[in-house]
Parts: sequence; structure tokens; C-alpha cells
Amino acid sequence: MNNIISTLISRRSDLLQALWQHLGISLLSLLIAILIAVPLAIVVLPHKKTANIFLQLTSILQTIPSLALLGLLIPLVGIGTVPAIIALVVYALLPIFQNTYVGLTEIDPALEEAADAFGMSRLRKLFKVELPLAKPFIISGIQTAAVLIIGTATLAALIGAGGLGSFILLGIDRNNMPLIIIGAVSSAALALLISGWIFFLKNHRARWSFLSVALIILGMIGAGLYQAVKPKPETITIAGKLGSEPDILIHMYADLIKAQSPKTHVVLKSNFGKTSFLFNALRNDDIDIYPEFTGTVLESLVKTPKTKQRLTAPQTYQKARRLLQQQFQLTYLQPMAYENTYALAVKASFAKAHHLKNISDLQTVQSQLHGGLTLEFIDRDDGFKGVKRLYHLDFPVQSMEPSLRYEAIASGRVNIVDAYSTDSELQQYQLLVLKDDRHLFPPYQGAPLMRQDFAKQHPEIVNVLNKLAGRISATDMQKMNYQVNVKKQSSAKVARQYLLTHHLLKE
Amino acid sequence: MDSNLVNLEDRLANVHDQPLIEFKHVEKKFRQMVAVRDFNLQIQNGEFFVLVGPSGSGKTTTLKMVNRLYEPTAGNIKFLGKNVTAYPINQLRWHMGYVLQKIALFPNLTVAENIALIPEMKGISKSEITSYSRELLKRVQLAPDIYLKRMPAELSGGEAQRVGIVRALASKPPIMLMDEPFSALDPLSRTQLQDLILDLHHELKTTIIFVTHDMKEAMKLGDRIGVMHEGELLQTAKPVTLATDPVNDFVASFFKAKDVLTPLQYELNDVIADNDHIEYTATLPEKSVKFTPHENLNRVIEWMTQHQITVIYVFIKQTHNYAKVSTLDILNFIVHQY
Repeated sequence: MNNIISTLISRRSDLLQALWQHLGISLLSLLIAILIAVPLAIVVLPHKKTANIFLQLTSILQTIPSLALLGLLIPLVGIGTVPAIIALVVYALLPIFQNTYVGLTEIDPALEEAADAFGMSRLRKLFKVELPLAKPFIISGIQTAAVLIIGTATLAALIGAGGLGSFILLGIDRNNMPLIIIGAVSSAALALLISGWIFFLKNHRARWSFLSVALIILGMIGAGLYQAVKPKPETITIAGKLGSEPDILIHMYADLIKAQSPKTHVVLKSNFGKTSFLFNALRNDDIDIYPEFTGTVLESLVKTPKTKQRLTAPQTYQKARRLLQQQFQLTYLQPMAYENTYALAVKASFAKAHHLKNISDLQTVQSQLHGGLTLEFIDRDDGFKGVKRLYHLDFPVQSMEPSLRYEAIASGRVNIVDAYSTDSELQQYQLLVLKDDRHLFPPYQGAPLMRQDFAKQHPEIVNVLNKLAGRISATDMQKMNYQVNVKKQSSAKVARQYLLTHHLLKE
Repeated sequence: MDSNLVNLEDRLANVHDQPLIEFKHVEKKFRQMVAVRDFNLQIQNGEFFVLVGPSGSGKTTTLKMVNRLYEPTAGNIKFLGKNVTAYPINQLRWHMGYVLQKIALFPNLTVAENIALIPEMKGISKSEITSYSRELLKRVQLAPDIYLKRMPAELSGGEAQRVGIVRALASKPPIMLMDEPFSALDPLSRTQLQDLILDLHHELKTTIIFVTHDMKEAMKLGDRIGVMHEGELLQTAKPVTLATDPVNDFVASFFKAKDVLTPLQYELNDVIADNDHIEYTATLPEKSVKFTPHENLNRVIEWMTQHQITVIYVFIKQTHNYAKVSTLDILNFIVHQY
């Protein structure tokens, strides 16, 4: 509990911003969904067959898993707020459309007859009779949609639209329970609040609904206008993937750039999403720079013929740089020293007792080994399959979630785990990374990635970021990750500290 | 202002020249089923016309063709000498009050807002609407200060239908269409509202087409009654004619249905006292039949029908002469007791 409160205090402004983003995305989506679904229901009302088709269609749309829908939207509209809103609107359509349609069809035919017999025009009948009578139905549809939207909007964080989901994702990634709880509770509270507000509208006359909806729209337009007219200095947007390591790196980039040209406005987008989101964002000009790993480039970003040949770290970087340049016109700066690659780790005490340094040393203790490995590692050719083949090792393994395997080895349930070589937990749980003496794991070195035109326009930024080339060892990175994840220091502070100690930045 | 509307108002001013409503060979089919066939009728301005018949006889369908809720499949209907389809439909409807069996006050609107619906569309000023609404509400015995602000859910069935009538009258329409307006009400409210609508009719001279399946109600309200059966208009006549001279067995049986003529707790005395046109003679004509004033009317009717006698004489003690009473007098009396 104390933990939650301290996290809450230290991240107060983040939380407020996330709440505001979450609310903005949700309400805007809700509004758009209302503006689509209600008129649609009115239009199809006299045509029963068409109405049924739309009912089916909206139901089908709702069965698409939200994650898949977000994925499908990326190639069409990129990342950020737009695809998030589209997906949320799609989800909200069914409850609103269905309830509006049912509400309108359930109206007593005698009232419809009376309205006709009194010579009401179609529009007058709609606004004076039909909509007010269907209002309770419509509003409960909107209520359902609102709760649905606010819940689903947590996924928006996956594609860089921010919101409370960024707390939850960050929490999962860092195994930080307070963050998850804060994100989840805030989202639930927001849903309750909005639902309650809509319930209040249900019991009051139409003018209140109009008034409050008008206020919200005005507020949003106002905020949008402010954003649009606000004077913008040259802005450089730097984003990072989920996790503490990219966060520390982009703070270093920012510090270095600001030291070089203090007038530049640098915007940081921490925990912006997973690899493909960031890569597409970079290509779409949504962001300018993000740190990427050489191994990841070859593995999942560029098209490359599969070669059996094992590349050294410099070879990997050169190949990645060349292919990024050729296929995507991207510039890949010099990599840092550390490799964030797969690794096998054992307890330092276990290593000492059995004189373990290299992976090949495990042969001697093979019969005592019991592994806790991630599913991905078990399945990969350059993972456990490769270990078996190249090191002639085999031992019983259990598949587990990334964050669980560290607890498993700490509690002694397993005695060997896979890891990323810069994970802070290595330090936290006093684990030793065994040297990959037969070079099984492909090298993963981090380096800044940017568009070619950006690099040409900003040679000074290229220069200043190249200062990091060959710096930061795996141990440095482990320490910094440890300071952020376990010691709860801010990424900004940890990044700055490193730059100062290594004289990359002057006080 | 719309030329058609001016036209309509002009026509209203010259309404005396022509029937207000005229049906010419009107037919209505729903899919293959004939609901109304070869319907011909003229309704004069100021008439209280009742369409009566069992359910499914086509009376409601006929009514709904007047304000074009239904369109005839053949023939045509004229309003003020012009085909109803020639007027803009909504303006036509603003000139035809409509009262439904289900009352159908809009539950989301107050009584005042319900009443103001049509006058508002006609562009009548707010103050004028309010003052006329108050006047009408008073006229139907609902205190305006209390009822104007009420919601329909807060009204009893009888009160709601009073408001329904006020709503139909609020735009001062030349004609009111009433579709079984009282059949869902309790007997007491029904009687009260029947009296009320008769009073309003005499006062405002509004033409009324009234649909009912209740012959008793028809006899009480109608200046003329049209009897419908299986989509056909069998007979159109004054209530008394209908009783004395039914065109066929159906009309006769429908008219003589038990509840129309019984119970009669009246005496011959009452018939004479109620009628200013009774003739008196000092001497009894040859072969005439004499009754005492206290004879029960039921027994008199029964006796007269049995013996095929149309005129009887009643001895009046006080004046020592005889009142000449015909079957027509008796029937007229009965009809007016409802």
C-alpha cells in the first residue's frame, strides 16, 4: 500500500496526463460513435432488412479482438491517436446502434399514429416524439459503450496513443505492481465516473444532455485549437520502446542534444510501444529518433536472405546499417558497446561452487540443472534449441513468464534461467551471466535510428549522438536498469548521472 | 403563406355550399383482403356522424382514410370539394382533429405541451395557445392551473381522454375524427365524456366523425348513423329511422341487441312529459287503444310490436283528455335517455 502511495506521488503528473489522454480519447471516440450509430439507426429504421444487416455487421465488428484490430489499422493509418480512436469507435457502434434501433422500434404504434395524424413532419416527429421516447434506451447503449471504450482504451498505449494503459504496460514490463494497480484502478474509476455522469443525464431533461455534450465538444475543440496555434519551436521527437533501458537511452539523447543546441525543443515519448509501432512511427515522420538493436533490425525489420553464417557484432551492425539504408532510407548511427542479447544466467553462488564461467562449463553439472526459460527462448533456433545443438546440453526446463523466472531462480525452484544480458534483475538477484563462448546468441547492439533526410538536416545531432558510440558496457546498463527498476530512481536522473561521470556532458 | 393553405381557409369560409367530406366509391384492400368496399357517403358541415359496426367491419379503416393515415386503393375522398390528396398532407391533418382509443398523449410532454402540438405547427402565438388551452381545459372540467403542468402518467384514463379531446380541438379544426375514443374507459367516465362531447359539439359546431362498435353510444351521440358490416356501409340514417326502419336483418339485429333497448325503467308518463309535440284529443277515436300513464314502457313496446299497432292513446287525469303517442315518439324518447 505504501508502495502504491509513493508511486502515486512520484508519478502524479504522469497520471494526470494519462488520465487526461484517456478521457480525451474515450470521449472523442464515444462522441464519434454516437454521431455515426444514432443517425444510422434512424435512417435504417423503416427498412427492416437493412437494419438487420447493420445489426449483424456491428456484432461482427465487435468480435474482432481489439489487439488484432489495432494491428490491422497500423498499415492503414499508422500509429498514435487516430487508429486508437477508430478501433474504439468500431467497438462502441454495436451497443449504441442496437439500443437506438430497439428504442425506436419499441415506441407504441399508437403514439406514432398520433404523431402522423397531427401532421408532424418527419424531423419534428423524430425530435419531438421518437428520440425523447427512445432516449432511455439510447442512453443505456451509450453507457455500455462508454464503459467498453474506457476499458479497451487501455490498449491504446500499445500503439502510442498514451492513456492509462501506459501505466499498466509499464507495470507489466517492469514487474511493478503499484503501476499496474494505479493504471487499472484509475481506468475502472474513470469508467464508473463517466457511467454515473451518463446515468445522471438519463434522468434529466434533454437540455442538460445537450449542454454537457456541447461543453465537452467545446473543451476539446479549444484544447485542439490551443495545440494548433501554440507557437512551436523546432521540435525533435525521440521515442523509446517499453522498459527502463530505452527510457534511459532516450534521456541521454535528449541531454546530449540539448547541451549541443539549447534552443531545440526535444519531446520524449517513453514506453511508446513495441518494435513495429516505433518503426512505422519513424517512417511516418511521427517520431524522429529511437534506439534500435542491430539484431532486431536483421531479425524483424529488413528483408534479408537467411544465412547459416554467424555474424560478429560489427558485421551484424554493418549489414543492418546497409539494409536499412537501402530498403527504408534510414540512417543507423554507431552502436553502443553493450550487447543486450540472450544469455543464460545462474546464481553467482552456484557458479562459484561449480567454477562456472562459460556456457560450455555447464557440461560438468548437466545432471543437476533445472531450467526456467521463457517460451520464446525454448522455441528459438538461436535459443534453447541452439544450446542443445551447439553445446550438447540437455536438461529439464519449465516455461515461464519473463518476470517469473527471476523469482523462480531466487526461490531455488530452478537453477538456470534465460535472460537479457542487461536485465536489472541480474544484479538484483545476484545472478551471473555465462559467457557465450561458442557464439550462439546473435549480437544485439543498440544504436540511434533516424530517417536519412533528418540525419542530413541535422548533422550536429548525428555528431552529438555518435559520442555514445562504443560507450556503455553491459555492466553499466545493468546498473542503470537496476537503479531505475529496483531503486525507483528516475530515468532522467540515471541517464544524466552516467553522462556526467563519463564526461560526455559538462555540469 | 402557402397558397394551398389559403385555399383551404377560403374553402372553409364557403363550407355551406358543399358537403364537408365526401366519399366516392372508396375501396381499401390490405394485400388481397378487402377492408372497405364501394363506400359512398356525404357528411355535412356541423354534423355528428357515427360509424358503427362490429370489429373488423372497416369503420376504423374508413376513418383513417379521411386524414390519409391510409390511402384508398380505389375511389376518392373529398374535403371541402377537393380531393384530400390535393392538399399538402400535414396541413390537411392540422385541420382534422384526431382522438384515439389508446388516447396516445405523448408521455414525454406535459399536458400543456401535448395540447400545444398542432397550434404550434400552425404558427399560432404562444400566448394565444396558452389562453385557448386554458379555456378548453376549463370547458372539460380540468382546472388549468393544476393540469397544464402535469405529465400524462399522472392522469386517470378519463382525465387523459379529456386532454386528448382538448388536444384535438386546440387548433380549432373544422372536423374531428374520433376512433372509439371512449371504449377503453370505465362506464362512468364513458357516460361523462359522451355528455361532454355532445355539449362541445353543440357549442363549437365542430363536425365529428365518430367510430364505435357500441350501438347504444351511436344512438346517443349521432345525428346520423352509418352501420357497417364486412366492409360495406349497409344503411345511413337518423337513429330513429334506424330503429323503426332497418334496411336488413343485420341492421335490425344489431340495433335490437339487448343492451340497446333495455333496461327501461320508464313509464308512458315520461314519454309525454319529455315531448312538446304530443297531440291531445278530448275524445278517443274509434278502435283505438288506451293506456294509463303509469304503464311500463317495456310492456307497451312489447304489446305494440305484438299487435302491429303504431299509435296509442294515454288518458291524462288532470286535463281529462288523451295524449296521442306513436312508436316514433317512444323511440325518440328512448334514444335521448342514453
